[in-house]
Amino acid sequence: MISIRNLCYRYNKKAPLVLDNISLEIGRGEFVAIIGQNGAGKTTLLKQLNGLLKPTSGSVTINGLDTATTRTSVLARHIGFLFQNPDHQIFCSTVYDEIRFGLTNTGCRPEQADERIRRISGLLGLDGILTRNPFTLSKGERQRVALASVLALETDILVLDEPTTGQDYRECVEIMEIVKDLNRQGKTIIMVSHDMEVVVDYCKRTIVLHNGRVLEDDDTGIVLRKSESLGLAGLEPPQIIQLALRFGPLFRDVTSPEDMARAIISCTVTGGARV
Amino acid sequence: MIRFNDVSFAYEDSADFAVRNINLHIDRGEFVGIIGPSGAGKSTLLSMINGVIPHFYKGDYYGEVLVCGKDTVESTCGELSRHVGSVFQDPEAQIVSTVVEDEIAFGLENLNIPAGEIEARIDEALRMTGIEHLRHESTASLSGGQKQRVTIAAAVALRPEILVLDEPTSQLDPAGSRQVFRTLKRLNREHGITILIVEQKVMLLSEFCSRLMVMDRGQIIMDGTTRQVLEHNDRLLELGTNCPRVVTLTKLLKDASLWSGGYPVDVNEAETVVRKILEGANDQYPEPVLPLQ
Amino acid sequence: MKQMLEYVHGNSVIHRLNPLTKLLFAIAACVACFVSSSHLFLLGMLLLTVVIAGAGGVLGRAAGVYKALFILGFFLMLFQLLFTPQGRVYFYILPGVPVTDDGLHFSTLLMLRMMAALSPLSLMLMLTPMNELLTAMTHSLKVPYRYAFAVVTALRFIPAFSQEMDQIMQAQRSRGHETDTRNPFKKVRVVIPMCIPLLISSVRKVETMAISLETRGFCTGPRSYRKKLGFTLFDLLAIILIMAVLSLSVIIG
Repeated sequence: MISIRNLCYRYNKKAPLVLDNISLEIGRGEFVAIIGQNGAGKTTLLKQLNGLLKPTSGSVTINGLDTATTRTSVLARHIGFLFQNPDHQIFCSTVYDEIRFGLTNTGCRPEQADERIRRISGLLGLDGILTRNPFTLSKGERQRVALASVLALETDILVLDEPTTGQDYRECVEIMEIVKDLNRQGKTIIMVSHDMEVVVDYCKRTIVLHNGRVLEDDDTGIVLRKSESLGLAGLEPPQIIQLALRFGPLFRDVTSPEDMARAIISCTVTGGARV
Repeated sequence: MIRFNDVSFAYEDSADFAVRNINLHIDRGEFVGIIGPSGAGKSTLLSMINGVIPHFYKGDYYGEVLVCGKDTVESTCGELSRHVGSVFQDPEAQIVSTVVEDEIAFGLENLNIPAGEIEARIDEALRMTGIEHLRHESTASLSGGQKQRVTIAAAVALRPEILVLDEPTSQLDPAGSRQVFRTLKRLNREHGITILIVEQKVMLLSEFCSRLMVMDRGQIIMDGTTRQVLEHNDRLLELGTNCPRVVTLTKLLKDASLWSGGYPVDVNEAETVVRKILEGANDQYPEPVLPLQ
Repeated sequence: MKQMLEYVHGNSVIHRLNPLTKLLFAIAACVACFVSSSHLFLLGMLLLTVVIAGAGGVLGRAAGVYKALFILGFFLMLFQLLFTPQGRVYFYILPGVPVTDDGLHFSTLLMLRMMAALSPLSLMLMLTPMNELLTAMTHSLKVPYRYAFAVVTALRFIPAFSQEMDQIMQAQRSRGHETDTRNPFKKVRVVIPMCIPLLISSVRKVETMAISLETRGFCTGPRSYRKKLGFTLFDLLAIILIMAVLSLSVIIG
């Protein structure tokens, strides 16, 4: 699906390497988180995936297409990109037109387009506001409109750049549940996030980037326990994992409060402690 | 220090009240976190303290807001800026100068502080926020966390008694966010500055703030010490604000009758809770439960 | 683009000149270049700017400016060349469109003028910190602080908006929106999806900035200034040089 081989990138000849010899494979249906400090190269890496930036050396292949030789507009049919700030995309006067914009760009037929738009807006709960001006909506609603316009392109891969930044908890959960559903339906999801709780709740695989290199790449539960690597990358494990780590091997596979509660309960029962 | 007497406000072109019947008292030296879903009125509340409402945003204003004894309607924003420093979400839109020390000097120049005193105040502000090493740096070359610390230093240079911050870490990475909170803690502990911060990062707020206020639909529905508010974690989740995972864990342990003490506010306290449970004791931090307003 | 306008920190002789001196130079240079019709003079002016750039330690950046102005100038030159049919004809580029000696003379003059007149302005911005310019404008030129601030802040925001525009363009390209097209009519349609978000984002930033300024006591009364701007021997020398250049432009003609 996505194959990155020895990818190196620098903005121009005199600049330092922003991405340093990255090799990754991401398969169909995966849900991958990319985490790291600001400046580690996360967004740069994402932009390599849809051809906005071309490799200085090495290669990036999406569904068999080499990003170096394929136009972004063509890659847009395979890989949908949701940017951090929905206001960087929104410009139409109705939600309907906004969702349709991408479809007209990629040559979708009008009859098909209408059907798709209605289906997607139903999925994202935008049915009631199709005729409204996106600028009158709340930040969370605008984020969903931007997501809808990206989903309308029906790509197999979805890339999300910090989809939950600046949102309240409910809006964050709303978007992530939709994304989880899409993953269940078979879409490959790649997400950059600063929110360790979101990463541990939703992503199966986590990649840690530091100084343009891949520091860790494994199951989320395993990666988020490596506090040294995370510390190097300027991050902390999510609260429950931080807590679990303080007890050594006792809470080895715990990632959520429910897991931990279950583990503690079974400890107190089997340990015969006074309850 | 800050007092709201039955305050309500509706923005000019809006029929609904952004805040309703707010009664509030904040003392010197408090570190207050304000949480709530979007649209709850948190930013409006802050704007009524620094004078942005009613001087910048007009509307229907009821009640009275007193800051350091001054009525915010009768004082100008300029007068209030000597008492209330403000920090907003987007550091890019707040920084006007190209060099850090000039940025800090900006507010001082605006308030006509004599040139001789300005240098000393710049030194002071840089020391208070721990960014002396950034003094001569170009503002464009700074990271997000550093930029916000510069913004805080620029606000602090005016020697306000109060600092209000509206989601200052929302665009920062975890390291940057923690830097900002640590700086605020230092200002609060060592210099007695009263801090009011609106944030979505409930975990950081629980760790650093001594008092939490929860807002929803224009009203303050919970107001107490951090621990007291976290008692009502089910209500927090209902509202759509997050609550620290260690609190959710403790709730589950309480439901299983393994714990009857108070709630931990951070990982360290949570560790103590879990250790105690595993050792067989089960109460710590006994605190009166806050009645729900 | 932003390289041409952004301040480069330094402590050279040029950096330490009074901003008014530098402003005077930029304006005088512009005037001199338009007064003079001598290729030699214009080349001399260009050389002077190169020397200044070198003294200020910004030769690298300045090279970018020269390149950009050269490209612009080159197109103007071509344009002028094709529309100056008088004089001795050298050859025909197209049937009925001659390249003449007069044509070459005027078109190269135009190109040199463009480069020599505009590069000092860019240099001055590279070598003068904004707040010094601001202080100079308010103190010496008696421009009301509010307006001087507006001009300086507008300049300071150009790189920020340029970056924002980049991000917007990338966001739209990711939706399959083609941004590279030569067709001027198509270009207009192509540009709208980018202008609207930029406009909205600018308005938002400006609103936040306005509020931030209010809370920092902006324009609430008399204002103090931290740095005093001096007038040194170097400034005097620079002014003499500027006068000499201006007179030379008139004399040489």
